[in-house]
Amino acid sequence: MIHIFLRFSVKDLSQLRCVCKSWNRVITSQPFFESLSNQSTNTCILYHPRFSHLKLCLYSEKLQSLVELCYPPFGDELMDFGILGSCNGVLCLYSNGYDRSHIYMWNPSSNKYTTLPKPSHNPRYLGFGVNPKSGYLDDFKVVTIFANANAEVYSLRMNSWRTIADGFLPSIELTCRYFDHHPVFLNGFVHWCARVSCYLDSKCPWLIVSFDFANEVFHKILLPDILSNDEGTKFVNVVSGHLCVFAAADDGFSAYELWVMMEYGVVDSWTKMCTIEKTGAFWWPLGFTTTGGIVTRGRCKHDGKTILVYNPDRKKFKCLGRHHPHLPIQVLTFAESVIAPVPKSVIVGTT
Amino acid sequence: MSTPSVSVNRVLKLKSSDGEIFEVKQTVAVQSGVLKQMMEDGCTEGEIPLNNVDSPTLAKIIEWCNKHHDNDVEGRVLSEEREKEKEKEKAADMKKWESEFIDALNRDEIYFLLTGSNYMDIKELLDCAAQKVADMVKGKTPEAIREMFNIQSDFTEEEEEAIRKENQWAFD
Repeated sequence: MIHIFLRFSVKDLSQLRCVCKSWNRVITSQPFFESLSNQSTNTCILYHPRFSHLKLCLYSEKLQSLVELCYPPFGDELMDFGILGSCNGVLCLYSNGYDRSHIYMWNPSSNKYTTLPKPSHNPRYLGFGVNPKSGYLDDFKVVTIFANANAEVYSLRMNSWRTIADGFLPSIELTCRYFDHHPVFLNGFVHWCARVSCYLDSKCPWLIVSFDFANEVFHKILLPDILSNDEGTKFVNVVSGHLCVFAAADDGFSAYELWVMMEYGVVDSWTKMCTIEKTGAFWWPLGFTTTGGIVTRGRCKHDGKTILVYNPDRKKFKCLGRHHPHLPIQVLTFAESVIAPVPKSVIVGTT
Repeated sequence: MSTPSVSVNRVLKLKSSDGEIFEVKQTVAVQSGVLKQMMEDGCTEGEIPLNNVDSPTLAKIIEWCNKHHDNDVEGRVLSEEREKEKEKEKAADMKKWESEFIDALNRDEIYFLLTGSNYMDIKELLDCAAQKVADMVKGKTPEAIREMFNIQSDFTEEEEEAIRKENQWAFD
């Protein structure tokens, strides 16, 4: 059955779900979902909030160009959107101004969405992901950390917020509020770069903080000393299923190093993969294409384009698109799915 | 004594679920992942029972494998350029043959071919049959699909309404 269903678009599959229970079960099952996302070469999303106008683009690896996506139905309601994450074909968007309590889960393929109820306070930090242990592909969750270090988690299936008893980790400050960067989801955990709280005049060590969506607890992931003690800015990301960190080589941002945690949770497995020297053409890394190219900000000499793709093997840049230097841009991986991000969605497949 | 190597002249005896015996050259049978594995393990002596494949289906499967085998073997001594051209031509001919082969089958025959090729692990045939079924289903309403495959909807009225509502966008 899977052999046949894999030949349909997400739209066709949504129609086929209505035929009978067993078809619906197959189409919404974890194994089918995984086969489908493996074959639909997870494309990258770029995000351009062009002066309150949100624009989402898919980067087509085949065409080597950007394709514009549909505009979210709630897009006019808010200015300054940020993408919190992309998971199982669903994007989580939020208002990235002073008030961060407007949060949406949206499937761009079906245009279905849910406006989340507001958390008890204005969120300081947010993270989005799915609980991989519940067996439901739509067990989406959002975690928020408030200025007072309390934390709440929202569950789509419950459609409500719940306080996390232990709150956030003591003496840790997240650093993920940089312009172009967002927390990343991997294996049921969302990850932020963070620093140990300390006085401004001393060097505060860097680390990664994760939130476990299954058990709803925060964890620390340590970096190698050479990274944790270096002042340079760091961004967390995921490449080929591995957690990774872009680290500015020094305060002068003369280069970025890419470090990959080859074995999840094993501090000794952090490996330096490559260094991108900063030149006129390269400013900073944003994320990855599905074939391992590094999407960066920069400037192409001949046409002034500001989104580039760096090929780490050939050490070459390719100009991709234009983007306003003063507006944020985000790069994530995304695969279409039939999963509707609505509370208690009818008959969703289990593993 | 078993010989793991595949020889041109040796044949396998395949026994369908209804007891008919089919003889297939080893070189043809390697297209089936299951038979290939058995040959490598050296356990192809005697009749090989294929309990999930009936004789009309097995005949079709063997026809497919023979055709693809012949196509691979014939003409190997052409110049490189000529060979490329010939390859293209052959690929086009094969596509035509495949679509005629599959279009000539009725719904049940395709279904048995699908399960048979899945069971015998013949990837190209499975792909071809799966694509055919997909083409048959594409663009049809759930009601028409139920009728085509003789499926009884097992949704309750409420469930049917809810799942229709959830997926309404796809029908618009």
